[in-house]
Amino acid sequence: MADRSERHPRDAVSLVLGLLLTVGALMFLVTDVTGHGFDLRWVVPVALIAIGGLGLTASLRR
Amino acid sequence: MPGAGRGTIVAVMTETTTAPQGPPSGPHPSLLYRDPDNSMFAGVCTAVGRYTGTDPVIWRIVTVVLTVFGGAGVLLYVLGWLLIPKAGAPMSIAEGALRRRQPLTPAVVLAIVLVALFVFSGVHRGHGLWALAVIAGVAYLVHRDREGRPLVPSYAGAAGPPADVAGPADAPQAAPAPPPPAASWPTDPAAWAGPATAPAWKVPPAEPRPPRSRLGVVTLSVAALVSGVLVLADQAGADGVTPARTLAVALLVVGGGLVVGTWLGRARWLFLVGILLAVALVGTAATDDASDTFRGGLGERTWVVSPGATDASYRLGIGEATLDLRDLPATGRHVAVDAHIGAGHLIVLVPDDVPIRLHATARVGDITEFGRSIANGGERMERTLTYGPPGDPQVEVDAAVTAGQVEVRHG
Repeated sequence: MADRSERHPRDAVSLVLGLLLTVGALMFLVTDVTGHGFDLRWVVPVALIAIGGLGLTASLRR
Repeated sequence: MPGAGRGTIVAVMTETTTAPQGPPSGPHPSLLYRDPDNSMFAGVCTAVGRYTGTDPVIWRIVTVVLTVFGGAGVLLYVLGWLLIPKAGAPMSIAEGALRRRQPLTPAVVLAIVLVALFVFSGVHRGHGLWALAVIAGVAYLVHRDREGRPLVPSYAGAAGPPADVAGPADAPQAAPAPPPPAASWPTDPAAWAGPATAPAWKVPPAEPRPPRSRLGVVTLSVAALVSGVLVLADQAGADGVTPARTLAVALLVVGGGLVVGTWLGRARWLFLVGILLAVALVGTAATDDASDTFRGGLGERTWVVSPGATDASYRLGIGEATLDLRDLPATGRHVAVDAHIGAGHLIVLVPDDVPIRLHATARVGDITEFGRSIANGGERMERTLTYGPPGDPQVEVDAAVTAGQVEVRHG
């Protein structure tokens, strides 16, 4: 990939989508292999806090 | 669903050859509009496909899949119907209901989708939350990625697009873009009639496409190689390798390829492959559970726990099995026994002189003790029973049927 797939400006879309798939696959593997589930109750509040924080930051920077 | 962003039409005036016909006004100058007359239903998937430059079939499939797995597809479709304006309409149904003078911003649309997401998640106890989050995130990122770029080919001129770049005949007329600062637009409406000559439309040369990245092909090749090795290992009887885990590893590779694409190469389409793998993973995992439930074959079994055993585990798919504990001596040595039947009848013979704690489970069916039913008619019935002399239990028994009967008998 050295010649045709050159470095480019950071692509946040690829990063977010890739992390979604990677984290999902890792969570399944860990749960399936170890038998320990994840407590996902923190996902919704953390998502809300992140969305709110990003929105406020973006608004205040304008 | 993506936000109701308004695309811009880049216009550059070169020379005047036709008259501008009016002020910069009109329906949505965006590709995000519904055209129900030329769509299957309300035109939501077609609108999103047109806006994102993707095949509407993809969005129809996503809608159907999300509808089947939790019903989120219906919610998203209704939201799209409410938030995306119809062709020729100045604003969407939701905007009209809110009596807004300006279209909703993408941030407000995203907020509406998120609120609906959390309400839906609450109603369905989190079911489909991940799918909604993925769709909302993808749509928003696609929209954001579109910002600053023209959604239709650039053309020269200030008053309006030529026929060949204005979109399909059924599309709404794109609004004339405001002129660039250098070309002052007359503030007097009377001047909008313009000069007698009209502007000449000039399509600027297209930017050369960047070379196609090999990242996607390389990622899929690595995923195929790794999956092939794991399948071979599974067929060779390797412990811990299952079809679901193989799919999860492939998903991990595809996700890793996308992450690499953040800095090197580009292959966003891998996300669609990842979605397909995720759906296959969910289905396969469910099948694995089912195959584990009915593991052990068919027929009648008699399982006698030998006096020297410290632990024992038995499985029967469908049929009748007798778990005989009567040979266990009262030595005080701890013994753990696990017996499971997918569908059928599990008989447990307990001795009188050994302290036993028996945990009986019947997901569907009943539990009987010495000829008397102690649990039936419910869903996932569980009873913890003790037998023998008082004291700490020497034998711990886990007796379960997925569908059928657990019956405890005296030895």
